[in-house]
Amino acid sequence: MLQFLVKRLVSGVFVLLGVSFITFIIGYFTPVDPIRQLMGQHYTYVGWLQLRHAYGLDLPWYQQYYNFLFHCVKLDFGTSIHYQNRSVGDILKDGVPISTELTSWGLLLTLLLGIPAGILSAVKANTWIDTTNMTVALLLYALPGFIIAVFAQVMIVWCNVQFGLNWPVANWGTPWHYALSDIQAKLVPVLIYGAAGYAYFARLARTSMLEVLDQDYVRSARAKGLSERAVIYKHALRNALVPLITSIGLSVGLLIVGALFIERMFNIQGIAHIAIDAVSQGDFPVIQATALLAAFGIVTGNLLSDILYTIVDPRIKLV
Amino acid sequence: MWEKHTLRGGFLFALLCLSITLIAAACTTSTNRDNQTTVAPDSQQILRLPIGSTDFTTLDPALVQDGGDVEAIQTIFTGLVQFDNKGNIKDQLAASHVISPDGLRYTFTLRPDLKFSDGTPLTAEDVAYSINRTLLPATQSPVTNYLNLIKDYDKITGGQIKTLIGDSLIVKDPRTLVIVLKQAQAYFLQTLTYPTSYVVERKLIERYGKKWTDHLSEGGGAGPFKVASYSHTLGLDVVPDSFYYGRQPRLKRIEFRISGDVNTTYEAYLSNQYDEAAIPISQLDSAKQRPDYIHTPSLVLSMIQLNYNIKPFDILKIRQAFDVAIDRDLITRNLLRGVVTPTHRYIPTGMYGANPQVVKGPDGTAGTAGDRAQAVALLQQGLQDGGYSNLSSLPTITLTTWNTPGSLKMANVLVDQWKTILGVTVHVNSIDPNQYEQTIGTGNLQAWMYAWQADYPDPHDWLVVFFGKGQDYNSMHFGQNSSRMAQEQQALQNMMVWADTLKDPRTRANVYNEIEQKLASETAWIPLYQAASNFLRSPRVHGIVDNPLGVINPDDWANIYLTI
Repeated sequence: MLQFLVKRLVSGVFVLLGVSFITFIIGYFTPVDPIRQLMGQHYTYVGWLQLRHAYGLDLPWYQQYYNFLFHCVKLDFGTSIHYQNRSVGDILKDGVPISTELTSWGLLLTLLLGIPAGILSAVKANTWIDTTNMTVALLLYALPGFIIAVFAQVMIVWCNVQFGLNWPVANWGTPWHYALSDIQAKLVPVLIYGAAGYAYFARLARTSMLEVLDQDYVRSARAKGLSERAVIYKHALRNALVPLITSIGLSVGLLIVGALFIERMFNIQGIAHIAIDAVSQGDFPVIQATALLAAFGIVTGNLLSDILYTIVDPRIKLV
Repeated sequence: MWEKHTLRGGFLFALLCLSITLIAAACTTSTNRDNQTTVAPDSQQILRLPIGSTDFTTLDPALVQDGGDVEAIQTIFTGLVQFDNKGNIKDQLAASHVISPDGLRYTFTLRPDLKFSDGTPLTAEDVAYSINRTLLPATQSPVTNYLNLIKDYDKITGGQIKTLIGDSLIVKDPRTLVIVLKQAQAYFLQTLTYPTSYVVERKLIERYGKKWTDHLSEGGGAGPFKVASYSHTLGLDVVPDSFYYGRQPRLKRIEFRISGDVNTTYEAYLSNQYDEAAIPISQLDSAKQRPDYIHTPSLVLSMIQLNYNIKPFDILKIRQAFDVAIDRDLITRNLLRGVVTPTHRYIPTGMYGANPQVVKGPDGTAGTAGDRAQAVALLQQGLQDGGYSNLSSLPTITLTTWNTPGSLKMANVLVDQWKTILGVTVHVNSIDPNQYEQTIGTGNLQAWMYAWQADYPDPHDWLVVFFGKGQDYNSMHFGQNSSRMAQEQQALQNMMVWADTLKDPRTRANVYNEIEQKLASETAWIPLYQAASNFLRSPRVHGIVDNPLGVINPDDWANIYLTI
């Protein structure tokens, strides 16, 4: 196990290095000049030279990349070019809790509803329960998140105007706080995030469970006279969970990265929102940091999946 | 079994209660919009302003560029002089100011007993510190050029000297500050109205460094409001500053909220969650019918700039032909839904220096519908002047524009009009908005669409910035080109320099008006329209005087209030 963890840790470091280099090079060679963009209508050549120097953008690329890596080791991602008085670390510190909260609640909803629904469908395969469940799942899965988000927003406005409500159309409230106004703001985005995940996990769980239910050992368990509940929960479910673990692990890894469309539509100032704004603002330090964060999430998620495998199925050995 | 049922029933009951509570809460916070005559009680004097989809870029007056940031900053900070709501300069922190006969020394006497929002006395030293701080390279301000008239500006921004205090910022006593200029310029006070010279509290900056604007609830400014709270993910709340030297605001709180994109913000306004909202283009027609619709011309001009160094725009008549061929009325009516004003102006209306008379286009009229016959005649003369035998011998003409749907539509309409009227094919080159400015800055484009918003309402910011010799924005090479017009243009450039030395504002404005008319007759660029602010404001809000500058006089907050 230890050997495996060390191996994965080393390969993870290389993945992060690779991502950092690619994002740096893309940023370096892109025709967008972040300082020119920062100065906008107030551009003067002399001012441009001074600011380029202040941000170290007049250094050779390898020097800039070295500086970036050197500071990254100390978890210092530099200063935002767009928000001049703010460090990138500060910006991430604001965004990560919001994205994590949105995706955590969404994932919880997904797992608590999606996996049981999938298992129920498998157990009741080809009955009206299965058909209804899978139709709903397919519908939610087929509809892009932003369509559902737009529809939800229109409905909120319609209800507000028709019934004199004041339900928040957008915004997130205070992260990890649950005053009434916070719950109002968070409820719809979480439900929408959960809806897409629900559909995915319900379908995955159904397929996986159906496969397991067809195995010899399940048939043997039934032949031994075990109750159906014992067959499903003790023998089938544990094995059916193995393929789900990969997806859950990756989802957990991506919790910090947020949900692009939902954050955008509902004006939630999470990491995805920050990353998109940074791209449009040519704010390379923020782009690099969010890309690294996403890579870190995926590496961690993968690792988590592998570890969870061994817990769910002790026959799997990590070498 | 019983336990399971109870659990499920309890869960459903809790869910039902939660739903009812949430909906009830939503209902109770809604506002009755029918009765808007009674002044709201203090507890409801809360103005809710949306700021868009991102946090303020900065609340540091030394760095600010964005219009929305300026609006918030002007509630918290004030400067020596500012604009009233008609665009006139008035003393603000200063009680009075005196300009020396040679125009090089501005002596400001501060109001007595000025204080920052934490009660700390504000003196001339603080004013000098604030201006000096903006200019220090360590501040990394992208807007130092507002103060470039101050003596030794180049030396301090270039890091050759460490301070201007005692040099060109002279503190005579706690209430008197002298600012020394490198050359007499009539528009210096206008540049001082920009937040770069607003007064900030030294002790806060020294305590918190670059993060000082995260601590504005501890002081920092001397405006009508002070910061109550600031969150980078929610927005900014300001409350009246009890140490403010003017009349106290009637509002008890302003909430600047990160509100999402223009569509989301508009939807939220319709749900009564904000008191103002910009209007998405798609909603403009219906919004214009609403009683809460507000239309105010703004100091923004849209134009097409033509490069004198690239053929065929080195020929006067060809430039004029392209100008006269455009039917601006049609464009503004059909494409821009009548919310802008077609114009020949180079200095927009609504500010000092705007020509009180009409500005005539190259066809000698103020009409904006274009003149087909004259455009064709001008083109024919232009072809002769340029030695072109016919239209097909003209070089390829390319109009560059932003790669955004609205800009591309506009470019295509223009290309269409030129093709229909002049028979000239113009190609469209679209560029990512992020690269637009730097591409223009190369000076190698042939023709490009552009828009400019006043930094400060003075003709200098419109004419000298674009047509002055050696100006960063003179990408058209006006004056310094190889065309036959160059000599005349250089005379106009000298006239601009002279205009900025004139002390009498009326004479100076007249000179600028004359220059503007000459530029318009020559098609120095092709003006298209003056933009406007189109937005909705809740009828509950009273006392805001809308003006093209988009500023609220700090003392006007005493007249702004909400009704229920």
